Amino acid sequence: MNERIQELISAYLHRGSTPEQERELFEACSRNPETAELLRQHLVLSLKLRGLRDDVQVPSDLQSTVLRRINSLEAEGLRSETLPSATAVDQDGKRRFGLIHLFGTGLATAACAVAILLLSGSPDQEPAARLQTVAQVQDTVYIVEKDTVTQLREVERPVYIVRNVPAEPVLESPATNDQGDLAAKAGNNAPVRETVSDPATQANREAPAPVSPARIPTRAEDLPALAEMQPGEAATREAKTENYIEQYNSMLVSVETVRLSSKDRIH
Amino acid sequence: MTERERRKRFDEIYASYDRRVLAYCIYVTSDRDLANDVFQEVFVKAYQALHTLRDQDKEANWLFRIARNECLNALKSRQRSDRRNIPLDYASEPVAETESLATRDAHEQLRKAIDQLPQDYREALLLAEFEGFALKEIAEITGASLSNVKVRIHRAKQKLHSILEPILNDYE
Repeated sequence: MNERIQELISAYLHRGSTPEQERELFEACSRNPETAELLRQHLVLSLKLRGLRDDVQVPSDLQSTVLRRINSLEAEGLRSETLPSATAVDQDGKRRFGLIHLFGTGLATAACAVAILLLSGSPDQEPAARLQTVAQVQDTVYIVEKDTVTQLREVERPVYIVRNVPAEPVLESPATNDQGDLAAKAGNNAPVRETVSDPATQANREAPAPVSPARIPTRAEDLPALAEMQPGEAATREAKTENYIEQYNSMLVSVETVRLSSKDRIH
Repeated sequence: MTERERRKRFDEIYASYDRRVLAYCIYVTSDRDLANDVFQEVFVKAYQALHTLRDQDKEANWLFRIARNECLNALKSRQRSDRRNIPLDYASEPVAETESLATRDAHEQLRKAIDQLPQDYREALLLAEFEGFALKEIAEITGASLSNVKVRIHRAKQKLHSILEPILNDYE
């Protein structure tokens, strides 16, 4: 059998032939019975191979194993959808700002601000209490950047989103008497801190807020997490957070009553 | 694509291709246990890489490219570990209940004949005949040239024809 016929048969069987080639093959088959027989054998072989494939069944235990693994991957994926990922690439393969890119600066800023606040706190405060405060604040720091709040880790206790505004009355949380005590400890002369949701201070938000010493609570269960801004960045960062603040003000009766849990996710 | 969308898409692909992928793995590796392992990895990789599947019309090519890579990796690993190439235990193969004795005999001979083919011939033949891929698609999946694919399939068939001549002639 010449090579041309083999080539035509191969192309015909594997969807590679043009109409002209098919016509040429069928004409060859009608002229030469050997060619027709060869084509028939090829077709039979193809059918038998397909039959062989169709015999294969996926054993139920293998199927269960695969699906179990996929379920586990899916659960991981769902978890990472619930909590912002620290990786730079999401499941769709799109580049996403990672913590380092987007919030690295914010984290450093917050850490610096917390450190400044602690160092500038009341001399009445015991060193041990300051250390305790450092540990607690580090444990629950939230970073505000642009219009996004990123939860750096899961938080299971109340979280307070606060920021500094100059010379406004203190809004005390009814549930935080200890905080009031601490405020006294931390420095009664300190400029006050106010929640972002207080309507009385909306105007003040437009202006850059100076950093002020904060009253820092000590009791673990009542301790707020602080989102602090560095002085030099206050104006721009506050401007960037306005959108976020406006959105969330509509949701919050009082920021001091907000509790974020591991189920909370803010974009 | 959300996780739920991804899972839905995966389930569709799995339902469409599970048997075909397993058959491919079995006949490329000639080792049922190895094929089972590869089968798992293929679908896990497919799930993880689902975002790379852009063209829905080419999902078969995409999946079998993964399957091929996993088979080759498994075969290489087996060679490295000096594992004996255990012939496929066809007796333990699940077979369709309707399969007659004659058909089983014919299939048995066909399986053994496929086993005798060189790996690259077998791979090209399986992609062409099991999956019905076009020559061009096989070239894409295997990374071989189109002419090379043609040669491999042609020679694989020649060899099968020589081994299976009685079966092919008896076919009505």
